[in-house]
Amino acid sequence: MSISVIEIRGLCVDYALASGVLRAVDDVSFTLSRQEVLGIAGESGSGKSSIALALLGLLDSTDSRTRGSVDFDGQSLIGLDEAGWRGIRGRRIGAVFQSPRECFNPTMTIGQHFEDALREHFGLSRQLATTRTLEALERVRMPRAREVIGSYAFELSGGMCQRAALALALVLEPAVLIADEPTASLDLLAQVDIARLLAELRTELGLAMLVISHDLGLIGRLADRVAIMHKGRIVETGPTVQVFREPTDAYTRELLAACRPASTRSSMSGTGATA
Amino acid sequence: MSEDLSTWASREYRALPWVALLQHRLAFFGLMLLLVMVLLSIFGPWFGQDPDAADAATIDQAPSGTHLFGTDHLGRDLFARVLLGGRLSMQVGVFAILIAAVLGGLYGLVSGLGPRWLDHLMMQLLDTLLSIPVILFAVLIQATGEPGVLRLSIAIALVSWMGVARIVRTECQQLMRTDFVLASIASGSGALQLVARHLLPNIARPLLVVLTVSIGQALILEATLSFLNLGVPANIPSWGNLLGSGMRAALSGAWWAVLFPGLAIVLAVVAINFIGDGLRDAADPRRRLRL
Amino acid sequence: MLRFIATRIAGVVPQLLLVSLLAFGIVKAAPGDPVASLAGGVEFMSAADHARVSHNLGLDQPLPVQYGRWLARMLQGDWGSSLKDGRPVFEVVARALGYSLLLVGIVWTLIIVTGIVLGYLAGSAPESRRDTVISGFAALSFAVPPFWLGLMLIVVFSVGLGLLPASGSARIGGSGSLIDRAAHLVLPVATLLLTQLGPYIRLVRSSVRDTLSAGFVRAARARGLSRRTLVRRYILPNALTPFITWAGLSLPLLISGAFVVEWVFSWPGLGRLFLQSAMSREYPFLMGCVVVVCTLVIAGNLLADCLVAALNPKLRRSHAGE
Ligand SMILES: Nc1ncnc2c1ncn2[C@@H]1O[C@H](COP(=O)(O)OP(=O)(O)OP(=O)(O)O)[C@@H](O)[C@H]1O
Ligand SMILES: [Mg+2]
Repeated sequence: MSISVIEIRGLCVDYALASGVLRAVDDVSFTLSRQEVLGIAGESGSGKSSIALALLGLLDSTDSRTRGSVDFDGQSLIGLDEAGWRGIRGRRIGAVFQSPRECFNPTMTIGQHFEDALREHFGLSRQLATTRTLEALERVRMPRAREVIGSYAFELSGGMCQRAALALALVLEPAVLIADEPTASLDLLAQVDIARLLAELRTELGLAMLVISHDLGLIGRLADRVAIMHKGRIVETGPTVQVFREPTDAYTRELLAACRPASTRSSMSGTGATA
Repeated sequence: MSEDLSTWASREYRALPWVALLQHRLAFFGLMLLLVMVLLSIFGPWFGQDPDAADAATIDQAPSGTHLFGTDHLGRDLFARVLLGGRLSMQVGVFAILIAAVLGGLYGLVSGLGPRWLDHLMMQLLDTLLSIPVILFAVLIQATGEPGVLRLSIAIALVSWMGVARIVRTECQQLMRTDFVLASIASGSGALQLVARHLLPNIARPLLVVLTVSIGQALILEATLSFLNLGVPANIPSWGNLLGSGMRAALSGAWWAVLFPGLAIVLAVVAINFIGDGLRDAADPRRRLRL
Repeated sequence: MLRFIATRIAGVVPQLLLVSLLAFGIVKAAPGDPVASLAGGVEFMSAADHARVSHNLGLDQPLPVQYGRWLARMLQGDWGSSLKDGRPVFEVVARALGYSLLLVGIVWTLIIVTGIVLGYLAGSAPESRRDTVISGFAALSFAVPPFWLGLMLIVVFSVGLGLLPASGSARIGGSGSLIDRAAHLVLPVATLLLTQLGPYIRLVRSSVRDTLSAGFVRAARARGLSRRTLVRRYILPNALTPFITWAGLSLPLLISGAFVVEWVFSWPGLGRLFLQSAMSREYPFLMGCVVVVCTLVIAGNLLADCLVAALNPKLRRSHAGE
């Protein structure tokens, strides 16, 4: 029995544009072990989100093509049918995406999102779902959780939306959590909060996580190992401490230099920091 | 910044997506079809049979080798009459939409550049006008006077200018908010002159789409009004008149009297709409290659 | 929410006034002498008679006064009577309205259902063969003049095959059975449905496409929800909001189509009444039709807007912030 939950080999993602074909992910391979946190770092447009979407089979087949192999727990996810995906998405692999507010249906309350997910995966009734929802919201330290259940996403702050999204992913008790830019759209204070929360959840729940971010501070704080992406390729990978301390690749060095002024261990640094 | 924007705008204008349009399969098909129909109706009547030659021996004949589309109740060749009818119908359609473009353009300019209260008032009026069914409006206009080609064109224009007005107004207002217009107004150059120079480039594409589609709808409106005897005088053949006068024959079995003029309308409108779609798609930033 | 509805209703009042003004104005601007046409022509009337009839009809007053009186009478339900045969306008229009509402109501319901279904089928599988066929139908539907399709259906199904009646709302002298009435509705309904469906399909198709690429649909899919839940709770409620607005806004289009179709099939509704009155210059009927039709359209738009507002949580919650 292998200890890797996710194993990706030779993943390529192509998008069709008006002017030609864009290779957004180019021959990417990595593995994620149980209880491990793997960080994927790289500048905007380097293909990080595309990896997350390809992994969950969420890319639109009319304007994109995916190649390579993606295994979850030794089972291939490529070519899975709709029913097969239903057992994986959400239930085994949870995900939070870049802009948390847009991830909620504007015509539904936060609570209804939980209800749908719990009913479909666990067959829970409304009452039971509400109890679970409250627990999940409290686990992510949502303030005024009871009120939030009846609120719409547009009534919450960005940080609260991100907490709700996290709770929604965790309520299904997945083995792996993919967090795509979990802090990107938040203000500085909320960024620190969410980073701390993720670190706590990780030790609490023993989740394997794929943390995707251009924020090296966040990655440095959370990830055991890191993969640095540039133009769709992984240019360097290794234990986070080692990569940050002795980068071998020129691009990694450049990236690190861009956020040197703030400590790489602090969650408050980012690629946007000025010298 | 302002320089960037203006060059960007004029480059867009020059690069009107002709190439993309020709690559658009349906639009190309529509363009060719329309071209054939226009050429046929311009030159056809000179070469084919005489559209006005009545012949008691050939009354209400079904389509055959000599009369492709059959003959009407006076024994006239329907093929020739459909070609001739196309001339008038297309003339009316294009002419009406040209008038509508001018009307709508002026209305949109005043509304878009005028003070807020005026804009509000004019938009309220526009909404109200839009809530009147086109046929009702057009029939009212037509019923209050003698039928005639010019009158019909004006009537169609009077019910078709609203879309143009909307676009022109929106573009004007957007343009007036851009930095470079604000800057030039601040530095004292005339807003009107600026608008004249920068509005057209920005507006050309959406306007072209709307006008194209409107011509198709004008063709249908012409046919409808003429069919109701409220359009072109009955003695001049247009597609609508052919249908109006063919109705009785069709009810007693001469289906060709209404099939062919109607098909001509449908083909022309389909062709025009395909061109409109092509223009719209060519301007769509989401347009994609096929993988 | 309440405030939204109140402002929206307040906006309707000037619209209604404008419509009445327009109807009145256009009809007044008509050439032709209604007084003379009563007697069958000017030559049959003495000048004194002419003046007397004009006076009785109030046609010698200044226009604003005429308008004011007309409006007051309209509001009281006194819509006048035919200049020719004295039929009361209100009754005639009301009866015709019933027939029109039946026809338009059936077609509208069918259009909404088929528009949503076909639009969804096309939009959920962009560029597929299914999409091509449905979009092709929509494009064609947009290009076919309703009256011509009506004629063709009559030629095929009534004249040719003798299957369905071509005119009227029931067999003359018949018992008026339900089946007979339904049979008379088939062709007009089919004509109107087929020629009006295009824009509805297109709208649903494009808004389904937009919704499918929205972040919350992707997130919901990433949660492993079933297709059924996805469609019913995430995609349709969002994709259909613009459709509701359009269902209201498109009423004039539908009514335009219905007018002509009523004419072709001799359906005794408002459209036929209107066109007949236009040809015989029966001012009171024209005015009655214009007012009824425009009021209906404005009310339809109002209803659609309120429905959209009621379905939109942002607006629904906004009373809290007042
Ligand atoms: N649906 C799409 N169609 C076409 N191109 C796309 C699509 N999605 C992404 N791309 C392109 O693919 C490249 C990689 O995008 P991706 O979103 O994976 O980058 P990213 O690393 O997540 O960037 P960011 O940090 O901004 O989120 C970008 O150049 C982007 O423009
Ligand atoms: Mg991204």
